[in-house]
Amino acid sequence: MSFKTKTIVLLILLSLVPYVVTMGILGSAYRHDMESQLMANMNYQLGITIDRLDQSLLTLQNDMNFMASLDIMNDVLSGDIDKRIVNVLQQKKTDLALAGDFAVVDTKGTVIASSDVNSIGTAFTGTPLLRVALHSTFGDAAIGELLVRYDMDNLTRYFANDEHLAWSLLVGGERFGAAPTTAAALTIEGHLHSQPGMTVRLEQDRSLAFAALDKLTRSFLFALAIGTALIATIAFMVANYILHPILLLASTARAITETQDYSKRVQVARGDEIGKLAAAFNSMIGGMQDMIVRVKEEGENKLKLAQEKNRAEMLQSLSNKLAKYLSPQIYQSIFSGEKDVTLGSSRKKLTIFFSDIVNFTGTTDQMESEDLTQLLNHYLREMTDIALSHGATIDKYIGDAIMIFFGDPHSRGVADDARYCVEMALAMQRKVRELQELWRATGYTKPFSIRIGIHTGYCTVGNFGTENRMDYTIVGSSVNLASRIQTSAAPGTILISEDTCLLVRDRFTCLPVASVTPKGFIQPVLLYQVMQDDLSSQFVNVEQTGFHLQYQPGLLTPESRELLLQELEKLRGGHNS
Amino acid sequence: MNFFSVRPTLALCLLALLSDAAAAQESGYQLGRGKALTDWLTTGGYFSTEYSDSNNERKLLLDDLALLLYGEKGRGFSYLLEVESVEPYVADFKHDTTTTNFPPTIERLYLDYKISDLVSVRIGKQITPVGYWNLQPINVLRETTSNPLYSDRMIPKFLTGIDVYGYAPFATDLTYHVFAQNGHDMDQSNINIAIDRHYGFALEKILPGGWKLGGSVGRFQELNSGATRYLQLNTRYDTDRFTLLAEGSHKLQDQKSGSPRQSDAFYVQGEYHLSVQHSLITRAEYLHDSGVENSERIGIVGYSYRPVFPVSLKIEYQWHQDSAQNRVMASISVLF
Amino acid sequence: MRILILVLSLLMLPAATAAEYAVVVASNSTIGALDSARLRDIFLRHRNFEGEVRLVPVNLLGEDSTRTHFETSVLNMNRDELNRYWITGHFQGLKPPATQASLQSVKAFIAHVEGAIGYLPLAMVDDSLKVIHEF
Repeated sequence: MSFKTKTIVLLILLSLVPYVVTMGILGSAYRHDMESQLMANMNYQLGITIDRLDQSLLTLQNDMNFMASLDIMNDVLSGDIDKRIVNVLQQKKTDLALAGDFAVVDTKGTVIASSDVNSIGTAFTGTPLLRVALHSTFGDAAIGELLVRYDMDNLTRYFANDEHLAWSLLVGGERFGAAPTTAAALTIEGHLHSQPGMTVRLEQDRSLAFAALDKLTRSFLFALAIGTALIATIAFMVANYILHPILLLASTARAITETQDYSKRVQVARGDEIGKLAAAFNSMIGGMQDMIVRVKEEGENKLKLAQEKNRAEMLQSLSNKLAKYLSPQIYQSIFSGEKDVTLGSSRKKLTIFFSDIVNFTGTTDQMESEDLTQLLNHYLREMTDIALSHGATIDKYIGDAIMIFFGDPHSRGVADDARYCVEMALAMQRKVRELQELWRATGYTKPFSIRIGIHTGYCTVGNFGTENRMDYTIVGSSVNLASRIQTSAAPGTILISEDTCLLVRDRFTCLPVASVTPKGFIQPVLLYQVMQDDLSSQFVNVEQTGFHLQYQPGLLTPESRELLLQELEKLRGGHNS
Repeated sequence: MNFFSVRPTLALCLLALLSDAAAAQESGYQLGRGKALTDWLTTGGYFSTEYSDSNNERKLLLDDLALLLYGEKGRGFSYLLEVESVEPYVADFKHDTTTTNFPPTIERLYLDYKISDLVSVRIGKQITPVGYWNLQPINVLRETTSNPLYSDRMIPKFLTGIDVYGYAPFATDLTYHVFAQNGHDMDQSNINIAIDRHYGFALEKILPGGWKLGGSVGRFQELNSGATRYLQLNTRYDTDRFTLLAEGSHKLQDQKSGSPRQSDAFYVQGEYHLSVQHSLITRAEYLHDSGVENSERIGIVGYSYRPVFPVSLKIEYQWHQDSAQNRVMASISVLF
Repeated sequence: MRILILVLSLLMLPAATAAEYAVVVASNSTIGALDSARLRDIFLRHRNFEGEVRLVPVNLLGEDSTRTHFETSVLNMNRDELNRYWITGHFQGLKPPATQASLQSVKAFIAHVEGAIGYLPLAMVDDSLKVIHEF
């Protein structure tokens, strides 16, 4: 048996079995449902009819209660000579379209008034359906009764007229209403709530009821036959539809194996899984085809690649070395291609920073050269880190001095450039004080301080020099002024020009301390000292002939303080003696 | 004016009621007699509209709208229920406002048992059985739109308690009431004096020649006030054309300190019946309260027209001692 | 002849002014003669008892001359006054007496109901009834 045949058979079985089972269950459920619906319908009809009969009897009861409560019923006492009661009873009989009669009897059972005038004066005969006692307005004793002789036609007229349903009313063994059509009938019964002795019976001819069911069975068998044929046809078509591309795949694969022609493809234009399978097959064949080509090319490329790599590594190491000699901004600017390395300049407002170590020469004379190099390099490395972290452009190191500017090649605006510059200066002074502690701890007995000068003004910035040897720097009187300010600064302080102060005074406390007239300037320049927040950690450093007093008030412990005072006291005592 | 825009509606209602009354038989519905639904339930009701115009106010009121249910059951038992919406609609033209107030109050709710002609008992909320005016408190039964000060200010109009009454055994045409209340009024919404205790004794004698004479004494405890004792007298004289009505009372209210507060009030009313439909009325009223500086005096002339007895159209003019209080009052009322 | 007529008319004169109507109760009733003031109290329902007997006054329906005559001469009230009285009574929860539609039924009613009291033309009174007042 081929795979195709198997698939068709499987498909037919898979669809036919549930179909037949479903149809079978539905058919039997429907049959059962129809039966119970039939019964439910009959029960419903019976319920409605019983309610209607009860309602009718209740209305009658209410009407009789009402009549019994009327003043006119007192006329029983006068024998209803004026026929007022008779009128009321007749009127009510007409209103209700009553088949039967109302009668009022006295306590002896004689009819005093009745809607049937012929019975007046006779004894009441028959069984009244309902009776209501009559009381006079003047006393408690009953004066008679209101009765109703009630024909069952009053009730049977409420029975619905239906050719399949036979209604009847059973009262005390007697049967009223229509007779059933056949003996083989569905039968239900119910009692009236108000009159338990009255039973309503509802019958339905079984053959009539189930005729519809037989028709249903025939329809079901027909539907089954048609359904089976339809399923077989569809199963055949579906199997073909599914299997066709698979067979095509198999034949293509065989052809490729035989001919080694990897350019062959399967033609299946479908979006489903089979389509995806064909596409995957095609891309696999395509991949194999590409791979063969690529393996050939790879050998050739490998050689080229090795040469290129060598050159790139060389360039990388070159630029790394270069970086040490260039300001990182300049380096970045050059290597990112933002600015070509050409001779040229422009005029910009920059903030220029100068710092140097106070008495560097005096301090370093006593040091070994290796220690000095280490100390200086440590100092410059720390300062450079601070400068770069504040976005400064480091122009150059001149021995122990550092020249820095803000505003080129990147400017954050003149005011912010100045602010970052002052912040950097403060950070440097803080760092130097930390370094002083460190150096002291490592044995440098004379750690140094630095002084800083800052000015904001117009400079010419660019590459200066010749085509062969260029230097990126700034020139101008502002540079000179900044340098001059730095030399005016006291150790450990930051002096700034008025121009800078105007830009930063809202952020930093600046105190005017001096005015200088630098070379080439006609007007004196007012200088401000930037106040440092951690003044407490500053040194006291006094040096005169015969003594050098140095201490840090913020770091004094009670013991060390006591020791210092003792020393000074000793000095006082020695002088006195 | 709004009053006249209301008039066509009222006229239509009246017309409908009158034509119904004209067609009615004694066994069926008769205007003013209620509708007997069964031998133990009769229903009826009444309403009145009132118009009042003085310097200080100009008002149109739907003064009251009430429903009555009553009946007898068995030997000697009877009951009565009256619920009333007091001033359900008031249009104040002076201040250009209207108010509505429909929630009904229980005016009367009692059970009556007639043991014999000498002794009957009535338990529940009822009209205090004192005087004449008090027993016919609704507009349609009166000949003037206004009530005298005597009826409003002196003695509690309602009694929530027990009244034992009947004919006095030792005399002819002499009736008595002995009544008592212990506790609040059943419905305190529309009462003239809020009390929590009241007891009293009343007598009425029918004299020959159309005269009637009555009086009462009693004591009540006004809420948050001292005990009050009162003495009340009433007389009435009827002929075919003329009716004279006079009532007066004197009361003493104990004060926390000092002498008791005294009040006196009386009125004399004369009615001249031009015919069954038309009457002219005049009334003089007086009230003096020792707790108030000025005594009040009112003179009234009025005219009453009854197309049929249960429909009353009345107009009157009042002269007050304080002339700013002078006013015209008119009303239409129907008992149905 | 003239004299005869005169005599006859003289004889009839007392008969014409004499009572034509009677207030009656059942012949076995214990109720005795009553004056018009007492009858007025009973028919206006001020009084409801006579001795131990609970009274059931009964009126003739409508405006029959028997009733009109009873109202004017015994109750001493005209229709307007009576109407006024019962309207006031309606407010006080007082119901007028029961009615019967014809003189025959009034008679039957009185004969059969204990305590019943009503009025009839004298000519209709027989053994079943007892006259307690004439008017």
